[in-house]
Amino acid sequence: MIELQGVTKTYRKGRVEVPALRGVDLCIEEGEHVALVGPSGAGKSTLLYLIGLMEEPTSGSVRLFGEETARLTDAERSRLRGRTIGFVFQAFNLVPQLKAWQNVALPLHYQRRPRREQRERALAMLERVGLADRAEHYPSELSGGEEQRVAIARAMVIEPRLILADEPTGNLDRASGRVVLELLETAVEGGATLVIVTHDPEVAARAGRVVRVVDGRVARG
Amino acid sequence: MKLRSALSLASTSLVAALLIVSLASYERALRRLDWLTEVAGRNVLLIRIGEGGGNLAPLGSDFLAFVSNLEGLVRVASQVQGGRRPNAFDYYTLYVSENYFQVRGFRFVAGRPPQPGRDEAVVGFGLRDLMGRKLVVKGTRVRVVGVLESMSDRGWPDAPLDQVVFLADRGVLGPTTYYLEFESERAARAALVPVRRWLREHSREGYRVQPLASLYGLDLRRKLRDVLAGAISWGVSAIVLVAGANLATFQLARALERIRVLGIRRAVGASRQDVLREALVSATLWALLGLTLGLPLAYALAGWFGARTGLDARPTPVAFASTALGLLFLVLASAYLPARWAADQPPAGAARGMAASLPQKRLGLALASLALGMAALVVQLGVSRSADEHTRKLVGNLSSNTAVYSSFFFVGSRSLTDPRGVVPLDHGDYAALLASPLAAELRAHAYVEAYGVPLGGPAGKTYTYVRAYEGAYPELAGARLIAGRWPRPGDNEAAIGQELAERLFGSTDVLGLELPALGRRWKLVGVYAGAGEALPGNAASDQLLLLREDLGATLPRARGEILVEKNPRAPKEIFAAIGRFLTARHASPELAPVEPFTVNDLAPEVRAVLLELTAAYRLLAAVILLLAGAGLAAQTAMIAELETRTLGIRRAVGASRGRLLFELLMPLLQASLLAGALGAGAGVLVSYWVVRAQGATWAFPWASLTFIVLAAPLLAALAAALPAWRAVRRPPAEAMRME
Repeated sequence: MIELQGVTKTYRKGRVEVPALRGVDLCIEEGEHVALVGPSGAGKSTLLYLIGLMEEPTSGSVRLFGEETARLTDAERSRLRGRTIGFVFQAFNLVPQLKAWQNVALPLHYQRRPRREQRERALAMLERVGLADRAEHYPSELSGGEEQRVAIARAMVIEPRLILADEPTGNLDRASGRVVLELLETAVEGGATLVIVTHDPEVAARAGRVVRVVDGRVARG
Repeated sequence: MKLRSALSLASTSLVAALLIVSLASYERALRRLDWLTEVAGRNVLLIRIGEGGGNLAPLGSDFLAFVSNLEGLVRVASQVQGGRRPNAFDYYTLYVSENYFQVRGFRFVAGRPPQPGRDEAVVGFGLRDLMGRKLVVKGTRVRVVGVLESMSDRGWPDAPLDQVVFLADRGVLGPTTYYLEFESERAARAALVPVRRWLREHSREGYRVQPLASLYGLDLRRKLRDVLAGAISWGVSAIVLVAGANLATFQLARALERIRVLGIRRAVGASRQDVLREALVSATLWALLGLTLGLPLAYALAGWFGARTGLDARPTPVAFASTALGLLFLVLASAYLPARWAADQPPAGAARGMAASLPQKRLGLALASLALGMAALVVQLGVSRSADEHTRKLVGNLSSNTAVYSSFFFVGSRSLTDPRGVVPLDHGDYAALLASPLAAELRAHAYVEAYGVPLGGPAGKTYTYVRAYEGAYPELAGARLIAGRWPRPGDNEAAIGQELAERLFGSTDVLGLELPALGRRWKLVGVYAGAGEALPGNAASDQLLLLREDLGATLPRARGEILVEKNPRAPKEIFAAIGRFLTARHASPELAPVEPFTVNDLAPEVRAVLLELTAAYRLLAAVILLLAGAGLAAQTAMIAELETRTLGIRRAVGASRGRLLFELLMPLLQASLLAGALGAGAGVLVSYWVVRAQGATWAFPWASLTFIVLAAPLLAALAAALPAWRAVRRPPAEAMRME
């Protein structure tokens, strides 16, 4: 389902080139629950963003659902991302000017679904994550745990084949973190693939497979 | 340098340059308009031979003794026409008194006035090559000791003086003109009645007295000066407003950009005063940098304006100093409030970065400046069009396809001594023109004979022109019927001008009344509105129109005029060809041809100022729009940068670049369309207000309005496209890392 071969990614900061990934080979099957672990700056998030088509590799191949992503246009990448991949970030990344339900409905908006359907599905998803009563609130009016549950609702509203989570519990207390993980695992039970970046051994332990990233390379896969 | 900073500095410099150029052109145009009213000789009475006949000998010492007792008299000057020999090369000469040049306000570009008793001469600007040479004029050898400035800019009454040789008065007998200069315009006006009385009591009605200024259409110049001054001051105000709005948005953007830095500074011990002081010092430096770059830009802009419009907009010291002070004030004022706001933020909040709602407010300001730019453009269009329309109304509503061939001589006169070479046109010329191949190029034509006559009615009497016409004269002369109909042949019918009806009968309700003129009684069948000033070809509101056919024949002392309107497709050269044709019928074709008078020849000196300013202000308004565009671009860049993280999120959930670009630009386009429409609407209203406040006729080029309203979103799209594109093409992962 996800296949990376010889993937490198180098960032340029001014005149300095900073290698983030130095040749990654990785294969993730459909329905897997994979944890990406490793020290800070090892390239875990970069790997996650490459899988999520949020960035393009400097070299190498990324195949997603059997499709070589390098050949896709921006519109095709956007469509693939919007219809099949759900993202959950450590910093929640909600749009501050939109209400909770509008944030959840955002991917449906870009799929040009009717506004009524957007609202109904967003409200249903908020109910699933236990935030039906917070639908009309803005992100600034929510707690950190609530914000992340809204972010998970946004990721799941499209019924994704792949969920990518970048330290989803990193900014949360233990109780909230547990709720978030349970929600993500519910999605896996429904057949989605979950790739989760974490520093937390407890979170990693709940994954079906742990992939260690060290210094831009996959140490064990 | 960041795009926003570059745009901001460029805009500040552009503001400085625009202000310098606007103020300089404002200063010069007002000076020129003032000069045009000055040269008309507001304090001077003109006494010259009129059309009544009688004793035309010089008025003599009795008259001079009388006027010396008039209240407020400063000096008297006189001029005796020396003319020139017919059908041979000769200089046109005028014998002038010692203080003639002073009273007329003629300045010397070289040399000095001739001294009495010496064989010296001064020449007009057209003969300046004669300076220092000796000439034989009227059998006397004279030395040219001075050259006058060019008279062509002063208006048509003085233009022929460029070709004249002025000699010191030596008691030569001839048609004499007197100029009485008074202390004030009021004193000159007050002297009109006693001078008229003296002329009547001494049986010298052959001489007419009038304010010299009336020869130049002083009222017209004054009215146009007021309209134009209104337009100019609005133009300058609009630039200042747009500049202020733009600078405010830039300063707000800078404050917002620096708020985190300010928070950190406050955290390490800076007080609010420190923060404010730093902001104001930085703003002052910014203004000085803008001004430094603005000055060469102003010179470049002035050069460009000069090449395009002929307007002299080179920076003047006053314009530069005013701009320096104004810009400093604008920058400091627009920097203070945002800096104050930034300084008032709690240090912790500032250090984290905040105020998400402010970008919308800044965009609002940028759109407001776009609306102002639009309003400025629309006001310029409205006011300049109105001024043009007003000129037409005052001087006659001649179409741009119409030409007038006007005679300065009575029909039948054989004098060829006029330096303009104008021939006495008559009905035979008109008939010959219609029989010639040139007639095929004409859509309409008319012949009219003007008779200067005294007219009287129950409410008063006056001296005016009766115009006996043949052909489509009322239409060509721009006379508009407001009651009744035009005269029909055979019934001694006439149409009376609105103003004349008021003067003679006290009202315009005169249909059916009779008016004696030219030895018979005319039945008034129509009342018309015409030009406010009597000029060649036009039908003024204080005149009487009747059919030439009813006169039976040309009466003595008629001045003939031929009016033609060319077919729309016929070239303009047809007018000159007709002039040559008419000249050739009268005399040697070597004489200067009869010049066609077209709409642009009416009050050309004022119209020239109008046209130059119109062109200049259209350009300025266009630059204002560019400035507003730069403001929009800077604001979009700022918003796009602040929104980058959100854009990244939207990209993460599936938005394509194109979709995001659309989402960024669409609200901007809608808002700019609204701003453009509001600005244009406000501009139309303000132009109406400015024009009506001057008591002038309001007119507007409506066809341009649609284009102008659509120009706003187009400008916004152009301005915002680059920063918006830069924002959306950033990879989503990178965008989301940005704070």
